[in-house]
Amino acid sequence: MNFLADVLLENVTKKFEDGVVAVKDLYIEVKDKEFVVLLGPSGCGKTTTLRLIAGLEMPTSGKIYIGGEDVTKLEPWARDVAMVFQSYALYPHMTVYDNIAFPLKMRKCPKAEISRRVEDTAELLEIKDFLKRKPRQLSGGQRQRVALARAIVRNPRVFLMDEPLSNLDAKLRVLMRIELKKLQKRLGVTTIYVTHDQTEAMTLADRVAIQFSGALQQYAPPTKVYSRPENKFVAGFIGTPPMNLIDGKLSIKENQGTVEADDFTIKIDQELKERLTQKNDRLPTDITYGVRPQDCRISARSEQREWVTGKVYGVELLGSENVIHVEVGKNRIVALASDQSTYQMGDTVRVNLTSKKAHIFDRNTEKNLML
Amino acid sequence: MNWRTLARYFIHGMAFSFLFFVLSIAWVFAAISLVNIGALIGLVIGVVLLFLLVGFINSIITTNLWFRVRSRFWDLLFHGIALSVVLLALNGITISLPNFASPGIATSIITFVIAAFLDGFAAVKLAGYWRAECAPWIRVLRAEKMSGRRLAFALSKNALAIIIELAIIFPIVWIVSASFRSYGSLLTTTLQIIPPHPTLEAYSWALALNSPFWPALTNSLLVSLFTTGFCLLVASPAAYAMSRFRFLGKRPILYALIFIQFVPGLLMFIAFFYLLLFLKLYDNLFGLALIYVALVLPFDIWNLKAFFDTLPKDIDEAALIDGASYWGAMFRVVLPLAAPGMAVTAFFSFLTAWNEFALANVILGSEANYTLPLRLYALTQRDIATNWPHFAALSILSSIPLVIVFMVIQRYLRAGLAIGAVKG
Amino acid sequence: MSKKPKPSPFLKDIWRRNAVAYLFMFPSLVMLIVFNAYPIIFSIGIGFTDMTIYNITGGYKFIGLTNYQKLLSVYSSQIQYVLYKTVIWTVTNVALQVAVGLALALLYNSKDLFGKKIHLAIVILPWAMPGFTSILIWYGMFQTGFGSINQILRTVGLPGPNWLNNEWLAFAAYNITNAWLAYPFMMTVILGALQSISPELYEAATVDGAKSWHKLRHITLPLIKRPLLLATLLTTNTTFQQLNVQYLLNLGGPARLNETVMVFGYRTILTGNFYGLASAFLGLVLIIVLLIGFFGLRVSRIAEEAK
Repeated sequence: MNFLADVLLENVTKKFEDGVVAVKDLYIEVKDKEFVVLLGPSGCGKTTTLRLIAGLEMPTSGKIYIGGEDVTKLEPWARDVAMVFQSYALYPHMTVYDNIAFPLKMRKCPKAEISRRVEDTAELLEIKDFLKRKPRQLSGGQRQRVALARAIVRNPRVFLMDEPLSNLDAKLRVLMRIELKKLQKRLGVTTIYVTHDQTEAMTLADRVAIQFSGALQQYAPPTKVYSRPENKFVAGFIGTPPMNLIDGKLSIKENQGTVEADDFTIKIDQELKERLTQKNDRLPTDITYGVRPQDCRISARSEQREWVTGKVYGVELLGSENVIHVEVGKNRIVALASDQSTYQMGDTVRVNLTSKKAHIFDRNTEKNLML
Repeated sequence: MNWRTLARYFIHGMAFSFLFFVLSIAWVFAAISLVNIGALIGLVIGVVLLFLLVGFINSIITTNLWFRVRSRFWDLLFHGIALSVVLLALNGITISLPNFASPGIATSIITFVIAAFLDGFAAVKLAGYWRAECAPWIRVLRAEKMSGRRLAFALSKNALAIIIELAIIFPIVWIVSASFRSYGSLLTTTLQIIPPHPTLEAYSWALALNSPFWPALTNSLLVSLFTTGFCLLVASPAAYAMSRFRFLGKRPILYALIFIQFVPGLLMFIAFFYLLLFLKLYDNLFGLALIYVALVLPFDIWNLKAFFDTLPKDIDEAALIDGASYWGAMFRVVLPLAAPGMAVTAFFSFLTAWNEFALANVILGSEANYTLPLRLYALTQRDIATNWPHFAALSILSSIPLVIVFMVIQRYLRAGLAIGAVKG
Repeated sequence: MSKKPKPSPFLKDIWRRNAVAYLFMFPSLVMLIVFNAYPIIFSIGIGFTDMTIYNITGGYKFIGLTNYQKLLSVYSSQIQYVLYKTVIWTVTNVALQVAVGLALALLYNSKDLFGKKIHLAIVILPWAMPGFTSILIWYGMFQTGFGSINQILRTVGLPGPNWLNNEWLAFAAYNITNAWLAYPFMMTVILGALQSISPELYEAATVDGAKSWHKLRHITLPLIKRPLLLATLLTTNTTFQQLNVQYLLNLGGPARLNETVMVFGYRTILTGNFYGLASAFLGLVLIIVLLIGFFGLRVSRIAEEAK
């Protein structure tokens, strides 16, 4: 049964007994067949959101719809969703075959059909050889595929995945990521995926929902989240190495704009300044200036006055490039340099923070003033 | 266990007997010449040789039939000692007992066959045990090159353990010995472990069809089985709910369970008495069983809950999402995994009901309803006239099944208590 | 890794799960209320009546605090005596159990022992035997004439006293018997705790220069303190409630001299008189037990673990 399977969380709030508000007034809609990733640091509420959709928790207020149907009060087994747990949650006392067949058995599927569907799914995930084994005899990657098979075999409306790849080793994780994405496209099932790893989110998602402290920060496709972060949190969370965020005072004059940080001044790119004044009638004085390391330039000697001076206090040699940590005033700036560069600890360098890809955030509201 | 293995045991036993018979002739000659050297020294060397012989024979047979066994000097010696003791006891029982009952050629042959089989079985198990437990220890001792003092210390610990164990099993030895005595021969004032004229009179009395043993056994079984089964049935869902769900009143109930277990049972005896009178279940086994359930239930729920707590909740949730109801999740997923814990809990419940004396004494009036504890107590009540051998036989018969089950389960009991101990 | 928040008992959102939980608990709750809670309350209530076996089915009157008054005035010396005996019994025997259990656990934890499996199986035997059988066996063994205890004594040249007819010898007999019955529990718990101590700790201590005695005092004992206390609490409760041993051996001492609270109560029930008085007495005992238990629980913080 696979009709339109869009998911809607309408102003859902979840408050726990100890007072912790895990999810605050959340509004998220997931389109049919879409792959949405819930991303955020530990404790941000993404797992709770997933469990609310699954029916393992009941919202304190708000409604949840799946395929247009109000499922807020329905028990998990009535919602036609399938979930892959972080620990896989395979039934240890059953064989792989029985594990996969379990959901079908619960829905009173006839034996012949169960057999057919289990075999097909096992073939799809290449675990046909393990059907007679017990979970404890399988490796991590194999168990994960069994968990997937159990979720797929029912043809549910929605897939829910709670960090399914976090227990795998790095190489396997990368492989499985690609496999998962291919699988989802092929099966065309709406998928909601929880992770704290932004690389996973960026590669898998059609849209990313970034959560922090129970509130939704931004909900947009990966490219947009990267290049047009809506607030300071998103800007600082997405991107490796993380964006440089410098507090300062904004000063816009006729021909140029500057940001005065404690010991130095950053010149704002002209295009940026135009956009800034265009989008905002009133500009606050206290702002945060954000520029990605990729967009900073660093040089041992540069005579341009706009560049700021600092001292190198750390160098990371990544092979493909070097990451240089520079102390500028009281701030720590990260810039990227070519792998041929030879900066050493203690060197005095000049950094160019002016870029038309920079962002300006209101220090109080943390919103991106460029959008 | 298949026919081939059984046959091997038999062959082992036969081979052993044969070799032993043949080689013992040689030993006798050696022994005779040794005695000429000096009585005591000769005796000691002779005995040591005998043990070595036994050990040697067994290692050869075992190596050929089953698996490799070490045959260094100390291995053979200890191996031989242990095996000799075991075989002596085993053969003593298997050969003498049936012939007591009905001597004859047929009995002798059957006895011989069974003896051979048991001998082979014991010999192999001993060899295996030796290989698994003791030989490595000796190897370790050697490897560590312990100083003499250290070695003496280690050996004295072993000796101490053995002495302590002898003291501990003394009551059991006494009662076993008593069960083989005739009535009068018990009343001696000197210590005699092995009865002078062993007899099976006590056992034949106890096992006779009209003895009080059978009704008492049936009563005890009925009551205990009912208590265990009913308790498990009722306690499992409750423990599951306590472990998995959060609901109003869970804390108070949890405290209540602990509280109930601390209340002296005696306090409630009068109330139980009254309750059963009221329900017209006084002097009724079913009434007794119900009370036992009340006594055992809090412990069962508590124990099962602790056990369920060790199982991850993920699996429950996966089952819920897969389409099982709450009942289905418990029944199909959690319960199968909790089987060992349930077995241990069931065993403890059974034990409690089986051993209970005080309450049964109050509630059961008529002799026909006596459970085993009451029956045994009644036997000892005629004081000087107490027929101790009868009592002994009855005690042993009522203890054996329990002890065997206990021995089988004891590993799990220790594990279960260890978990509780560490967590607590 | 994201934390999994704990599910909450918020009334509004899981009232349905509450219902299911109650359904699961229902049969147990019924049994507990009818056969546990009600008898306890009723028993306390009896303490306020003049019930005996003759008027139990009807005709017993409510007499308020008369029983309690009588206990504290007329019978106070008897009560003090019984309580005194009970305390001595409990303290002595629990100490004995702990000592034996601890000693044996330490011995059997040693790696110098070989054939541990067999040793442990034998040492746990007293636990396997049914209690009533064991006590009656000891009853036989303590007989003056043909009891094996005296037989052994005579073999060594010592006289064989009349154990069961002498107040303090009988007390010793109780202790020996119950220690034999109960030590496996203590030993098993301690052994389990000992085995959970990582051997690395001892190795580190050896490197630091500690001798065996130091290791025992500073590593072993502190680390097993928790399970030891818990086990001691449990066994104190069991020992306190023990009445089979005293009753079956000699009905509570020659001429009732060794009666503990439990035996006293039991004999009263059997003779059928003074149910009211006995219940009042046991009610007082209950209060004492609860107080001790409550503090004991606090000490070992079981309540925390109960979540």
